[in-house]
Formats: sequence, C-alpha cells, structure tokens
Amino acid sequence: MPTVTPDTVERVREDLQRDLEDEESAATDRPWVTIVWDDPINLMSYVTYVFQQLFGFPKSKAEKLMLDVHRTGKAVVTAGTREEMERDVTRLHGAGLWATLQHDT
Amino acid sequence: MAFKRTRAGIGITLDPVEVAVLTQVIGEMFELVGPLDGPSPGEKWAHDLGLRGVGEDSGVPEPDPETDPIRARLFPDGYRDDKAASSDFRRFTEDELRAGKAANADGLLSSLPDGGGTIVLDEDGCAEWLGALNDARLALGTALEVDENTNYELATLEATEPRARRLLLYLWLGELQDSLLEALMDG
Repeated sequence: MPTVTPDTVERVREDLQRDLEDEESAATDRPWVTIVWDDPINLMSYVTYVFQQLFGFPKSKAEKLMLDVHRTGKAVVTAGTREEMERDVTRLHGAGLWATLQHDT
Repeated sequence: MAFKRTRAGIGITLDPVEVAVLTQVIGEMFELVGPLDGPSPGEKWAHDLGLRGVGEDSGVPEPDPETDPIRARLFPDGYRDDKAASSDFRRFTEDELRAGKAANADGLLSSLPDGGGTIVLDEDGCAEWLGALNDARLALGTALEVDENTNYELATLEATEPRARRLLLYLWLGELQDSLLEALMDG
C-alpha cells in the first residue's frame, strides 16, 4: 500500500494550483466574442441605433462598428464570458441583427 | 406618411390605405413569430429530459435555410460552425425571442388608428414599432431575396408585376422605419 507523504500532498497541491492558473489565463487571453455579420436588409441607421441602445455605445463608436460590418462583412462588437456573449447574441437576435458568438482566435 | 417629433412625442399620420397595409403585413408577421406548431424547442427539450405534460413525440426541427429561410433569418443560429451548440442555444432562446417579436407586432397593431388618423407614441410604443417594422422587413426581404442591387432591379420591372408591388411595399416599410429612426435620434 503506497504511503501518502507530506511531499506528495504538496506536489498534488502545486499541480492543482498550476491547472487553475492555466485555466484562468486561457480565459483572459482568449475571451468569447460576439460578431455581427453584414446583411442586405437592415438599415445602416438601424444597426447604429441598436448598438447604441443595447450596449450604451456613444454614437461615434456605434457608427464605426456599423461601418466595419458594412465594409468588411463583420465586426466584433463585444467580448467577455461565454454566458455574457450568449446574452448579447440573444439581444441582437431580438433586434433582428445577424449575430453569432465564438471563442476568440 | 413619416414619423415626426412633436412636443407631444413622436407621431405619425396614416391614411386608411396605409393602416390597411400595415394591418395586413404586421398581422402576417405576427402569425410568423407566434408559437411553433407542435412542441417548441424548449418543450421538446423538457420532453427529452422526461418531464411530463409537455409536447408530443414530434420534435420541431432546426430551421433549414433552404426550405425555411424566413425562420432561419428571424431566429438565426447562435454559432456559425457548431451545430450542437447552436441547437442548445436555440432551445434556450427561441421561445423568448418569439414572445418578444409577437409583443412588438401586437403593440404596433393595437396602436393603429381605425380608418386612418394621427397617433403619438410613447417610448415603449416607439420600440414596438421599430422592432415590428424591422422584423416585417426581414421576413419580406428574405422572401424576396433582396440584395444590394434590389433598387436597380425595381427600375427594370413593370409596376404592375407582383414582384414590383412587393418590392415597393418592402421599400415603403424601410422609409417608414427610417423616418422613425430619424425622429428617435433627433431627441
């Protein structure tokens, strides 16, 4: 029967600690993001207005994001935890924008 | 026919034809966003978990963009390349989204003046109109497969063709929505 020495316990504790830190740093380095995709139906003024209303962005930031979507086909509008991004995507779908979430790459 | 900000609030004057058209278009959209036939994704989920008293065996399938493009546009996938995650996301959100869109359509319909007239909207009323007009444009625009060239296409059609009439309706809803946005941003 193997014996558990204080040394083993200490090693296990250190392993767990390292795992936890890895997870935390992975979550910080690669957050989840909400992406809005261009579509031919939504009015540019409407998309700007929705960004202002849902996220409280100032008009200049909302307009810049809308133009990014329009010109490049998509834009990251928010970043955070997976749960937060699912909430944002749901609200954008409620407003009729075409949005998805994904792990940032 | 345009929204204007007045001292009393944001208002619009609609003639009898405009009221009739909105009643029909938004009414059709209301049907579209009502509860799904058969168990909703949420009920299907409850049923799959063995919870009693909800739904039948027939599940509601994911919308196929080929055969049901309007549902796929009004209730898009939450994930672009992850069908399983999108399916889970839909279970938790589509019922709520349907209820919100139906409430907007209902709010717009109940604010319409019988036979035409002037209405003034409060903040909630503006939000209901804005959402319902947008959903109607999404549904109609998706059905008509509009793209960036739609404005040019209209010029090539005879005004009496059914497609021309539906495109005009789509563009009219856009003007209405744009005037509401201008009035809102003016405040």
